[in-house]
Amino acid sequence: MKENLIDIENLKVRFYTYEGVVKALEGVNLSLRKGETLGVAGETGCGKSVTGLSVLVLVPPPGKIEGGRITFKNANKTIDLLKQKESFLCDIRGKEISMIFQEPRAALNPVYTVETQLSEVFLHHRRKELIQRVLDGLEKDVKNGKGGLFYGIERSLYRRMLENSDSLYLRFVSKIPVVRRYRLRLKKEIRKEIIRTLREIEIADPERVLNMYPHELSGGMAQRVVIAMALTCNPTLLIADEPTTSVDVTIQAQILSLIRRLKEKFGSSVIYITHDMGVIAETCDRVAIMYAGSICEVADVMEIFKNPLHPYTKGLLESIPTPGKEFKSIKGTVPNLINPPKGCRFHPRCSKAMEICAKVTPKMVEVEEGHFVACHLYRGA
Amino acid sequence: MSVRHRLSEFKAGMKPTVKELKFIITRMRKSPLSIVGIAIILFFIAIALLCPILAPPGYPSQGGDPYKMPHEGWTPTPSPPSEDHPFGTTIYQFDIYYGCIWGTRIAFYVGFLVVGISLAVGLFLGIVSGYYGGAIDEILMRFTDIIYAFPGLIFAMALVVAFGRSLTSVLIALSLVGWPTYARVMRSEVLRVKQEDYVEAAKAVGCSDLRVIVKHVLPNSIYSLLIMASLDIGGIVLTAAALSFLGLGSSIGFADWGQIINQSRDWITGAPGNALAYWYTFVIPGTFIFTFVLGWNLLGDALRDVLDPMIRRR
Amino acid sequence: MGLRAYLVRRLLLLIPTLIGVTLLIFAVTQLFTPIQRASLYIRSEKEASPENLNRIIAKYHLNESVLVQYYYWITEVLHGNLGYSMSKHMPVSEAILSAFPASAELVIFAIPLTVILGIYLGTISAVHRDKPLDHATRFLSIAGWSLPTFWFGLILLALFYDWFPAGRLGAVARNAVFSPAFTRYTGLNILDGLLNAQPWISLDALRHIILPVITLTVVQIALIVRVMRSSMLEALGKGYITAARAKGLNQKEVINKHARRNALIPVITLAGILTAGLLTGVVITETVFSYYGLGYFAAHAAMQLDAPAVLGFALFTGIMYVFANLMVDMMYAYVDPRIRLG
Repeated sequence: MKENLIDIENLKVRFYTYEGVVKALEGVNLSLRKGETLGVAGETGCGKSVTGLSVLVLVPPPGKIEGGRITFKNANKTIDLLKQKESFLCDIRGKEISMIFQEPRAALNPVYTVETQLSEVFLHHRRKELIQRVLDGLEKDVKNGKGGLFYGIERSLYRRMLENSDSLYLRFVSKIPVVRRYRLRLKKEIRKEIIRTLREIEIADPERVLNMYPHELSGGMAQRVVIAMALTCNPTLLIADEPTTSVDVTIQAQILSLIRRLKEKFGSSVIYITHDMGVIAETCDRVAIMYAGSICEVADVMEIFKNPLHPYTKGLLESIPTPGKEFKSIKGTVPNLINPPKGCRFHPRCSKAMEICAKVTPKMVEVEEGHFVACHLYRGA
Repeated sequence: MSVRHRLSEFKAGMKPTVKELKFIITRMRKSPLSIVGIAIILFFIAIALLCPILAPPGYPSQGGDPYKMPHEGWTPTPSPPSEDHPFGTTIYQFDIYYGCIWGTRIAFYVGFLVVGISLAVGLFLGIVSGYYGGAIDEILMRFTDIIYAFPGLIFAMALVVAFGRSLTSVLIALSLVGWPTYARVMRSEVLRVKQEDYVEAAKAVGCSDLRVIVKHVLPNSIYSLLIMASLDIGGIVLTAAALSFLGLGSSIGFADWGQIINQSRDWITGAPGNALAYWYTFVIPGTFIFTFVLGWNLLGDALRDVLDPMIRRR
Repeated sequence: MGLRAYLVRRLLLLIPTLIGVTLLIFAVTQLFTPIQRASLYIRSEKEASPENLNRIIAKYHLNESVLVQYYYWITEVLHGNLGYSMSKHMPVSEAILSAFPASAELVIFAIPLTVILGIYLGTISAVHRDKPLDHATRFLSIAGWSLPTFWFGLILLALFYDWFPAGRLGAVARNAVFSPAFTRYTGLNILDGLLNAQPWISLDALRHIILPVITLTVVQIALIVRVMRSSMLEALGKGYITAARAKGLNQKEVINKHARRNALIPVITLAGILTAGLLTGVVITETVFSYYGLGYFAAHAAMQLDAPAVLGFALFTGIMYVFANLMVDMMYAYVDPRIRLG
C-alpha cells in the first residue's frame, strides 16, 4: 500500500461576498498517494480550483479556510498545512508543492520578462546552491591565475551572500553603480539554469524566449513557461489547475505528454484538476468527482468508466458527446452556493433521489476496494 | 392599459433599481467615511434652512437683502469675538457670524447652480456628440481637449477678469470651465451603450432616437454622474472661494465665506509681534469652507467606492 | 517599432493642441473692447497714451474680422510680445520669465514629495483595505483635498512664521543674492547658493520653501492616494499575484515587486493632472506666503484686473500644461511594455 502524500480531511471554505456567504467547500475529503496522478473532475464552479488553492493555503480573499486538516507527508515529517506559519508555507510553495494555472498569460506579470519571472523561483529557493556555484567558479578562476582586485571583491561579496542574502550591507552595496555589477555572475548562473529548464520543457529557442514579455508569447508557449516555473525545484507535489483548458487542442496534446514525461522523470505526484473526462482518462491513475463543493465519488480511472456508481458520475459520463449516440445532459442547473440545497447537494437534479437525500448529507463509503461513493443509494462493503 | 396595470408594470420595472438602491444604502451605512460626510452635509442643510432664525437679517427696512452683512460703524480694525459678535467682526465691523451663517446658503447656491449648469450643458453636448458622431463629435472633442489644457482656476481667473468682477462672473466662468468633464463622460457612456445590441433592437422596432437615449443611456450613466457631481460641488465651492480671496468675486459686505476672508486680507498677518491677533477673520470662515467641502468630498468618495465595482461589473 | 510610431503620433498631436490653446485665449481677448485689447500690444508705459492706442488699433486691425485679428495677435505672441503689465510696470513676457524660476523651484520639490508620499500611503491603504488604517489614510487625504489652499497656508504661516517665515529669502540673504558678487545661474535659489559656494543661502531658501511645499503637497496628495489605492487593489486581484504567491514569495515581496509595478502605471497618467493642480495651487500658495513667483504675479495681476498679465499667464500655463501632458504620455509608453512593443 503506497503511502499517502496528501490527506485532505473535512475541508471547509467560505467566500464572504457582498451578495452573501458562498459555501464553496463543505467537508471535502481527499487523499493522494505518492507518485500517482489524481484527477479532480467536475463542472465549472464546483470548487475544484478552490481545493487546489487550499492545498497551498492560497485561497484569495474574500475566501477563508474555515476548517479541516490538510496533512502533508514529506521526507520524514508529517505536518498540517493549515496550521503552519506563513514563512514556512512560503518555503514550501514553489519548492515542494507547486501549481500550474489555468490561464497562463494571466499567471504571468505583464511588466516583467520571462527571465525575470523565472529567476524569481531560483532566487527564492535555490539561492544558496547557485551562490555556491558562483563561488566555486570564482575560486577556480583565481587558481587559474585570473586574479585581480575585482575578483577579490566579488569573492568576499558572494561569501557574505552565502551567509545572509538580505543583509543591510549587501543591500547598500547593490545601489552603488559600478560595484553592483557583481550580481551579474549570479544572474548568469541563473540564466544557465533557466535555459536548461526551458529546454526540458521543449521550448526550442530559450534565449529568445527569455527576453520576451508575456503578451508576446503564444498560448502554448506561455503555458510551458508557467510549467517551467512550477517544475524548477522538482516539487514533490504538482497541482495542475486546468492547464490545457485555454489552449488549442494540438497544444493540449503536447502539454499533456510533457507533463506525463516530466512526472516520470522527476517522480512527482500530480493533482490534475479539469472538467474534461477525456483528459482524465488519458493522464490520471485515480479520479475524484466533485459536485457543488463536495466529493461524490473516488475510484481508479478504469473503474470509474466501467462502473460509475454515483448518479452524477453516470450523468457526466453519459453527457460526453459520442458520434452516433443521442446527446444527453443532466437536467437542472448548478445550485447557488449561497443557499445550497439541504442534504445531498445533487438531489434536486437526481433521477434516483429519495426522501432521505433532501435531509441528510451522504457520507463517503467504500463500496469496493479503492472505490468510494457518497450517495444514499449505496452502503459500505 | 388601465392605470393599475401601468402602475404594477412600473413597479416591476423598478424592482432591480430598488434592489440596487437598497444595496447602495446598506454599503454606505457600513462606511464610516460616508456617515461622517452625510452628517456634515445634513448639518449645513440645517443651517441653510434656519438662516433667518439663527441670524436675523440686518436691513429689513431697506428692502431686506439678507446677504448684506450688517455692520455697525466703519472702524477698519477687526474686533475679536464678543457677546454681540460671536465670531468677531472683520473690517468695517461686518459681523463674521452673520456672514458665515448666510454664507451657507450662498455656498449651496454656487455649488448647485454651477454643477447644475455644467451637468446640463455637458449632458446635452455629450449625448449629441456621442450619438451623432461625425464632424460634430470631432469638433466637440477638440474643444473639450483645449479647455482641458487649462488648469481650471487659471482659466476662470482670465474669464472673470474679462467679464468684470462680480459673483455672476464667477458663476459663469466656473460653469464654462466645468462642463467638459460631464460632456466627456456622457459621450463615452453613449458610445458604450450605442454598441449594445438592445439599442439596435430598439431602433429596429422603430423607437425614436430620443426614446433610445432616455431609456437606455441615461439610467446607465446616472451613477458616474452622481459621483462626479458630488465631488464637483466641493471643488466648485473651493475654487469660488479662491476666486473671492483674490478679490474676483462678490463685493465687500456680501455674505460669502471667501469674501469675508478677502476683506480681512490686510489683517491676516496680524499685529506686529502677534501673528494670530486677528485669527478669527480667516480661521472661522475658512473652517466653514473646509467642513462644507469635506462633507461633499467624503460623500463623493464613499459613493465612488460603492458604485465603482457596480459600474465595472456592467 | 510601436514606440516610435506612438511618439511620432503624439508629437504631431501637439501642434493642433497648442494652436487650440492660443485660440482659446484669443477668444477670451475678444470679450474686451478694442481699446482694452490694444493694451495687449504695447511694450512700455509710454505707449499707453490715447493717441497711441488709436494707432495701435489701426496697426493691428483690432476693429476688423476675427481671423485678421488672430493673425496679428499670434504673430506678436510668437515674437514674444504678450503686452505690457500695468500692475508690474514691465512687459508681460519679461515678468513671466523672471518669475518662473521661483515657481519652478517650488514645483520641483512639491512633485516628488507628493508622488512618493502618495504612492506610499496609497499602498498602505490598499493592503489594509477596510481596516482602520485604510479609513484613516483615506480620511486624511480627502481632508487634505478639501482644504482651501489659502486657509491652510495661512494657518501654517501664522503658527510657524518664527521658524519658517514668508517670502523666498530672509533680508540678509536677499541682499547677498542680488549683490554683484553673486551669480544667479538658474534663478533657483537653493541651487544657486550651492553653485556659488555659499550654502547658507541655500539653507535660508530651504527654510522659506518648506511651508509652501507642505501646503501644496497636503492639498494634492489625495489625488495620488486615491488612484494608487484603487489601482493597487485591482493589481492585487489579478492572477499573477496568486501565481507569485504559489512560487513562494512572501507578502512584502508580492506587494513591492509584483503589484506595485503594475499599480504604478495608472498613477503615471495622473502626473498630468497633478501638474495642473500644482499650477493652480501655486497661484494661491505663493500669494499667501508672499513668495515672488509666477503665481504671485498672476494673483496680484488678477486683483488689479490687469488683463494682459492674466492672459499672458494663462497662455503660458496652458502651454506648459500641454508639454507636461506630452511628457506624461511618453513616460507612460516607456513604462508599459504592452504599449512599447506594440
